[in-house]
Amino acid sequence: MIIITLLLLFWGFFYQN
Amino acid sequence: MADITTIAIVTIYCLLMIGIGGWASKKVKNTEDYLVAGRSLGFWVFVLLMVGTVCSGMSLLGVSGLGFKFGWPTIWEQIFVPLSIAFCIIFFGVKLHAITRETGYITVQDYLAHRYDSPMTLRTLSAIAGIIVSFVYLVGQYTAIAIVLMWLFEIPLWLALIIATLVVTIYTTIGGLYAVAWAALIQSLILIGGVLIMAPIIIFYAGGFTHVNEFMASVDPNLVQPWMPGGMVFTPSYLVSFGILLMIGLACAPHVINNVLAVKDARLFKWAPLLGFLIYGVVMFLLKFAGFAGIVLVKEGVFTLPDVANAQDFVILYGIQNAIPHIALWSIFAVIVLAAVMSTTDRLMLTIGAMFSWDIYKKIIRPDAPDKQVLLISKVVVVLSALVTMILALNPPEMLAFLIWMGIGIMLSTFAVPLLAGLYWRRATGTAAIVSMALGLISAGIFGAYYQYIEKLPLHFSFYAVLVSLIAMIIVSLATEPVSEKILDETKTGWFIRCPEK
Repeated sequence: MIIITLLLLFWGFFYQN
Repeated sequence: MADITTIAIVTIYCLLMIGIGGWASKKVKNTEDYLVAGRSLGFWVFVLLMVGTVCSGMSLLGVSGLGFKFGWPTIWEQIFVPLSIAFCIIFFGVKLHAITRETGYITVQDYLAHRYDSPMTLRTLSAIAGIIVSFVYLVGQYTAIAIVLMWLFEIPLWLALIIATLVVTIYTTIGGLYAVAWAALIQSLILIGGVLIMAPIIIFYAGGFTHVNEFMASVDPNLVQPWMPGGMVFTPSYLVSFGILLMIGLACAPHVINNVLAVKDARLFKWAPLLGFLIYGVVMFLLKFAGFAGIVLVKEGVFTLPDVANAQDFVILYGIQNAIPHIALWSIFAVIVLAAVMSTTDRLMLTIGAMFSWDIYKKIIRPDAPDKQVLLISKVVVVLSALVTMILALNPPEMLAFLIWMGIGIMLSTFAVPLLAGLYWRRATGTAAIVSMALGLISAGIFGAYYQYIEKLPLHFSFYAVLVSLIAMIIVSLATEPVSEKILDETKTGWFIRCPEK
């Protein structure tokens, strides 16, 4: 749960058309 | 019989939903408004629509039921089901939305027909498979609603079904996706608020979370393990195949994936995956823990479950009945279940309407059909799908739980490979997509029946069907001519999620 939350946080911060 | 407060609370909820339908019906001017809400969905409406679509009535009762029966080894569904929302947005949504801005797709079948250059065969096959799995899923939903309404009001099944069907059919038919999306906003808030209040009360009533876990360990040590040893159902390898099934299968379900076409602005994909995952994750954990509390309550003799095949599905109902000694509060739980069921059924009915009126009627039978006619057919099909479902749910097939799992398994093995290969692999061809989809559908049926009736397989049956579908996709693609570069560029095919700047 925590790992996935971190991954999705990562996605949000790097999501740039 | 229920008292006046209960009837009032449920009635207020039903009228609110019909009111949203009335408001939405004023915004529906054409088929695009009806089927994709004029592509107007903002952040919270979209996130809560995804939560509401994925969270069904069966998951509400079934999550705590599974926790009650098998304990901690089943918590993996809490990780993978909410993750399907994030998976759908990231791996399907971002790219599909970017293509749709230029092409104006109404359904995912529009994408498949375009990308694979197969305007007839693939579209028909995909729409028919989508309609079948949506129906299976829909019947399961109505059965869940019947369980709850019969429990609360002590009314006969047919009356419970008519009430639930009537409300959801009215607002879906008149308001289309506008009504479905805004109703989902309210329904998801009811669901989240309700579970946040109800689940802790049940856990506290059973003696608190620590006590529940100590009690479970004393009943059976396997109940507090993350998975079961070999020879049991939930072994690690089974759990992984089961988790992937849930995550990808739900993500490419027609009623879930089509939501991404209705989004207003791609910027919303930045935080929607995280929020959708967290909101639904918390709800599911609480429901599961309420199921754990049920183990204590049943073993200590606080209540006994009814003597039926799916007795564990009643555990949360009985937990509430005992932990909360006032009947008016039970009706709030009934509204929570109604909200969970309706937020899934309305989307399913609309999806069936869209696949029939747009993919089959407008795109195949009568390409020159005027927009008003397509809109009317959508509405008629929504009403018909409600009627057919209600008749099926009056005499639910005995294998209902099996059918629902079968539905998700078929979604995965039919749609996952053609969608993922289409979006990311430029070499995937139309012939391969047709073969892959057809073989996935057929082998899901064969492996599913084998698993159910002949012998248990070490991995979830859909895993084998997906493998067949994937192998077919690769072999047939390499043996056939690729799709033209022009189409591949139009559909932004390649190993990327964000489209490179032109």
